[in-house]
Amino acid sequence: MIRLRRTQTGASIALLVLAACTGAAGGDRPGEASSFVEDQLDPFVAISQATERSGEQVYAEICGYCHDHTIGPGILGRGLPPESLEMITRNGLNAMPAFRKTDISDRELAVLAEWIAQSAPAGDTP
Amino acid sequence: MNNFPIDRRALLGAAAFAAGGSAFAAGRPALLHPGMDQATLGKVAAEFRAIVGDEWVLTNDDNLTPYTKSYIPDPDEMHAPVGAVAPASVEEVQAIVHVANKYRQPIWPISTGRNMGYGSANTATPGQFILDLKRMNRILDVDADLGTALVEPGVTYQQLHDYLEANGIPLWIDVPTIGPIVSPVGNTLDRGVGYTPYGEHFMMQCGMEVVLPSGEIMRTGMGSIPGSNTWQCFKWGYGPYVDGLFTQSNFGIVTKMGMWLMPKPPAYKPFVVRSPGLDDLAEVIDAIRPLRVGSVIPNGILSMGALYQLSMFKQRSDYFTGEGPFPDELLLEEARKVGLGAWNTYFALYGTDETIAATEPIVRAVLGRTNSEVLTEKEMGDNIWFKHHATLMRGGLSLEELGILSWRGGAGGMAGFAPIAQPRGSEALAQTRLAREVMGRYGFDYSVAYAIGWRDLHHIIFLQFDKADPEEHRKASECYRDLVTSFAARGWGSYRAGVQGMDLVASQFGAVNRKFNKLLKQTIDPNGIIAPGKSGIA
Repeated sequence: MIRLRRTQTGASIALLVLAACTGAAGGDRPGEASSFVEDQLDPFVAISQATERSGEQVYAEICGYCHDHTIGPGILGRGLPPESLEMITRNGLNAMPAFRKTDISDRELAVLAEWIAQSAPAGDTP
Repeated sequence: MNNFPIDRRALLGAAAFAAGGSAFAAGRPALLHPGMDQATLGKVAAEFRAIVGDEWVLTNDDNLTPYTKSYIPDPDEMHAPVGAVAPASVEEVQAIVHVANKYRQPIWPISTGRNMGYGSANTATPGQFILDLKRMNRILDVDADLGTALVEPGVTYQQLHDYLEANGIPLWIDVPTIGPIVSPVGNTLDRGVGYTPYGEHFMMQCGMEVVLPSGEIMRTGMGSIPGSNTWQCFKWGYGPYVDGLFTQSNFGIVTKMGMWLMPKPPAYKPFVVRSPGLDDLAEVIDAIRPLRVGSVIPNGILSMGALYQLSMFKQRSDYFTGEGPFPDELLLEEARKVGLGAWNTYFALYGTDETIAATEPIVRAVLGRTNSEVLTEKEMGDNIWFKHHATLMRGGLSLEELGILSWRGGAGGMAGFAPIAQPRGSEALAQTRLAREVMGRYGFDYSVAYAIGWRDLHHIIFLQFDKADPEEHRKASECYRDLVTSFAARGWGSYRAGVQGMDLVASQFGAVNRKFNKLLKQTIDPNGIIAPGKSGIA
């Protein structure tokens, strides 16, 4: 029987699933999976963790390293359509890498694309 | 520059192509792992969804392009995953491991999945589920006094850098080439190298937490002692040192990693040794070797070939559209125009103004006996390559080297082949000669960086091609294998391999070594669920 010690949603879900799976027949090694869970819940606390970023932040942390350094084309201040920017970010274009939602969440991407679409050309002061 | 034209119409059309043109786009049947069937795979995905939530599981019914896009030669499409699952905690990783064991479904862990020259997030064999650890992005500890950190796999160098800056902690990070979008854990586990005195990343790693294939959690070194506060201080622990087992391997999933960070020095001075001729590299390596071995020059030195450097900011067609490899005379001429030599060797001195002032004359005296010039910021000023390396050698962040992917245009393409050599000029010349000979047979350009380590050369060769050109793609695949086998025939093995060459490279390291790795694998992971095929271990 697995006792839940944490209330964090993700961990609780994981352990419930684990508890369910432990009892399931599937050719795994019964007994091993159940023994580790109670003792080894992750005791570490973050001193810092990535949080949702603004469009400007994502651009500075990822896009700008190429698009402001002539590695990729300039994309600021050109009124590029947000839907295309989102598609290209997820799939890459030519040699551009494709970015996953674990890199840039769907919400961040929507905000980023809108920010780029509305941006002034690079170097312009607002 | 790689500043291809782009407008609204092109964007819309290209985006549609990108989504629909992928070989792995939604709906296309993917190869399954042996013994797996679609119905069972569906159960796996359902159980993964119950663990991490619907949003964080992708299958072949979704667009997997963000995971499948790679730059390596893969003409037969043998490295595609069947899905991706992204846990947010170690408990979720344990639960996923349990499901993988239950159904014998392999999972392929990635930290950020940006192993660019080696397959990105692609898997060694088809049919695997990518275990994307990017959401596990907690920085768990930074000790400003001891210069140590403890991070999760999804923490990028950018994130760690920002944390140090925001908190005024005078420690440096040591980045690989594309620091902003990759992680210390991922790069260290593939035994990558950087540019500061802490550039040998695995040497600076200290303590790991590993989810074993059984689902148990193991902390290496001092980390398993209750109440221990020395996990990030002392690498070796007691008994066998096992951290190496979890690098370039598939014996567990590293969910936390300790590392040492270099105290920011009061003074820092970058240099470049500019060599005019293609053969001048040999005497530079011989001259610099005692300085590196003796730690007079303490950092990861890079000798960059001019073609690689030009390709960062321009495309091949900007210079040359003829057949065959890029002509030497043209290369030297174009390099000269922009202040580059045939080879450009970047190193730095660190310390105080006084110690640098004392060391610089020694370095200049030694290197002054070569045919090359020793230059600093004073002479190089705004030279973009000097600035780039001056940034990297102080742990600064850049993505400028992503430009090399576009050298031959089209979809881009690049495979890293990285044999190790002794740090002797004669060895470098011999390896360079062989690489040029092999690559020349296929019409590819010799694009290169030599990383001069403490007792080694990492001869990092970049096979650049256009993946959108089927013939060139096929030739690149053949050329890569030719390089690996031709170098091995001379006793030169790789320090790292892309997923397309892991088995081949592993086969060169001896039958007993392979048998030993296999025995470990069968013992630790009897169901073969963690990354089968990684480093040739199945």
